[in-house]
Amino acid sequence: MLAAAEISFHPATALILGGIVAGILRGRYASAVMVIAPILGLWLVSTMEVGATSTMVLFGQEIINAEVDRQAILFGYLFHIAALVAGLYAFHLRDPWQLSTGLLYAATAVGVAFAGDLISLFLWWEGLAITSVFQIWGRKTKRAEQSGFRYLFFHVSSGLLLLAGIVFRYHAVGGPEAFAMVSLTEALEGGDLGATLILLAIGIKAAFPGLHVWLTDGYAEATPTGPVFLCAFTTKCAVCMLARLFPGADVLLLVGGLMAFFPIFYAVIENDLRRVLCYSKINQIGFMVVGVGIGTELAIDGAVAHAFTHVIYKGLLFMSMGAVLFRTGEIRGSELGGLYKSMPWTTGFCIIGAASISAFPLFSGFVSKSLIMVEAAREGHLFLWLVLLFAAAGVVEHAGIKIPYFAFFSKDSGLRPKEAPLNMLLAMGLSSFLCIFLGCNPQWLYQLLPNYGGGYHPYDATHVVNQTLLLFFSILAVACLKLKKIYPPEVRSVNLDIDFIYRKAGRLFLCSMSTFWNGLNEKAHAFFVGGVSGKFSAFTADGPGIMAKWLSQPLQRLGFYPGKSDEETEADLEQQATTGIHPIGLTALFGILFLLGFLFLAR
Amino acid sequence: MPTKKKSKNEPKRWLDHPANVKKFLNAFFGLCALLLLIDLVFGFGWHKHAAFHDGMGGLVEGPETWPVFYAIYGFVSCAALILISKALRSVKGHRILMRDEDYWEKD
Repeated sequence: MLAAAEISFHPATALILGGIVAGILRGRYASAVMVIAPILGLWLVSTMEVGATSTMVLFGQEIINAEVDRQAILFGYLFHIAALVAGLYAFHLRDPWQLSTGLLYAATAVGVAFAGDLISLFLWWEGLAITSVFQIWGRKTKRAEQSGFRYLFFHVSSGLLLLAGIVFRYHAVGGPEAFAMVSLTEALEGGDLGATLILLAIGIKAAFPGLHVWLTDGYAEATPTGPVFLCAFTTKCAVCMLARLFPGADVLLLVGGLMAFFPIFYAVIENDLRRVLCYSKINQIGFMVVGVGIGTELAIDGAVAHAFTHVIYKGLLFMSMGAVLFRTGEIRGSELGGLYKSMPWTTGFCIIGAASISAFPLFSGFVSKSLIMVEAAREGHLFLWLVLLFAAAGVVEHAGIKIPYFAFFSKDSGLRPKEAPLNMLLAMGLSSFLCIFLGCNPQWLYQLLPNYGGGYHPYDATHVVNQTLLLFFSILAVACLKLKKIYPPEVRSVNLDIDFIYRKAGRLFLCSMSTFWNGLNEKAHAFFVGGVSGKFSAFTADGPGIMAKWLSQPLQRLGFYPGKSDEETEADLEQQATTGIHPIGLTALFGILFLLGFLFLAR
Repeated sequence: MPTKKKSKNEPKRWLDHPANVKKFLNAFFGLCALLLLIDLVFGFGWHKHAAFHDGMGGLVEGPETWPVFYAIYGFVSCAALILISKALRSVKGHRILMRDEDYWEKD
């Protein structure tokens, strides 16, 4: 076997350097880096050869920093394209923190995609958590700050669980093979604790049901440009790792089905349109998780392909909503409407994104989602297939119709904002082009897939007719309910999610802890500061005087103070003791007694 | 940034006329009917490729080959989705998931 080629530059190099330079430069120069660095990075990824590795030694442990395979290259391209689009979209930004950490965030995502073993995965994984939170904090509001901390809480927990999982794996397996980036499905299904913890760590980042609230909470509070970065990297890294570490794990079928199913109900009644997109994002990741869970070559391809198209069309939808927020300062469906009159281009791009996520034929969602659907059917998962079909119909409702309808049409809100800035329009235009291009030329995507898409042809007459029918009749249902005035209107509200438990439990924890520890603190304060220490300080302050009084009589008898009465000696000594001024002779005497005492005790 | 408001002498757009909205909807309903017709012809007169193989239990061919299955499934799922979601907000005045906008800010 040929020795694996060594990579001269890690694929994330361009983005890391770009992130540092963007943090140093100011104004348009920093923005230019946001565009140039991803382009250089794209070129760097294109030079990667399958099988090449990059190793380094850290604390005497050899770490495979990067290992190139087809999946890593695909995600490498994807993350650089996403960084390019997001950089272009944020071109007007003049906040060096957001720009710099945005590029570094993309770099850590590339690092995860190329990670060659679990240790390097852990290092990049932590980087992902830390660099991403600035897209939320950049909003600089109290709500965003709090939300950022909740976001960080989840992601730091994810990192710790990953580390714990790796340590347990090392104990169970031993040796360097414990860190190998291989399928852990067998270990997981054999009940291995390490594998379970690693799955849980990835599960937090993939927004598994119950662990998903950081997503709907954080992204909705982020800056107008923030979710464009956020939606591209974190969850896709998780999907990438699921496909590497847990292909064919049966539990993922259940988890993925749930993820595709439950968020759509929330999406229908949510008022914050970016939060609607968050719920629809969980639904889409559900499809990918199911693809990984099915575990056949084509299904894995489907999951990876869906991650690829999803980053582009979900980014496009977040960009259109970000433009609305940027221009109007408002993102609640109840307050928007009629914006198509003054933002026609944004409206058009949003509709292209909506058509892509709904998987209309000729748009990108169609060519990737169908891989997963058809594999679910071929493997005989009838119930799961019906759930996914239900979810697919649900996507049309909340992402395909609701988002463009309530933002740009619906009632006239009276708002007439300016069209989005040119850089935003260019970024949305680029994504829209990719959505349609990949939808019409799926072979470009399929040839990048780990298993080349298994010779699948999405434009089969049966499939096109069935899918179009599903979509049109879903829209028909919406139209009918809307005309009958049964459709739930957008109202100012929030909906309780699982975070109800976290937040209530958090408050209960805080409250009980504060009662217990603060109570204990007060008791301890009263005992030590008020009681013991008061007595002790009184003793040290008054003690010498009292001692001097006791000693004055014997010292007088011994003839130390000739020519003085008892009272005079006592008064003299007390004054000396309380002010701390003694004649040298007395001090020397005490010193000698003290040393003798020590000598005696030391024996 | 102050957003410009609607001015009084703004020209009316095509979609501002209710008659045009009606036209648009009618075109959409017509398209749905046409698609249904295509599916019927395709489903009965031709044959649809089955994706489910033998793992289908008693069924010889999977639901994806049944004519109009997708139309009914799409319509029913979407209607059910909306009705259930609406109920999740509140049932007969009892709020289930919906809360005031400042729910988490209140202390």
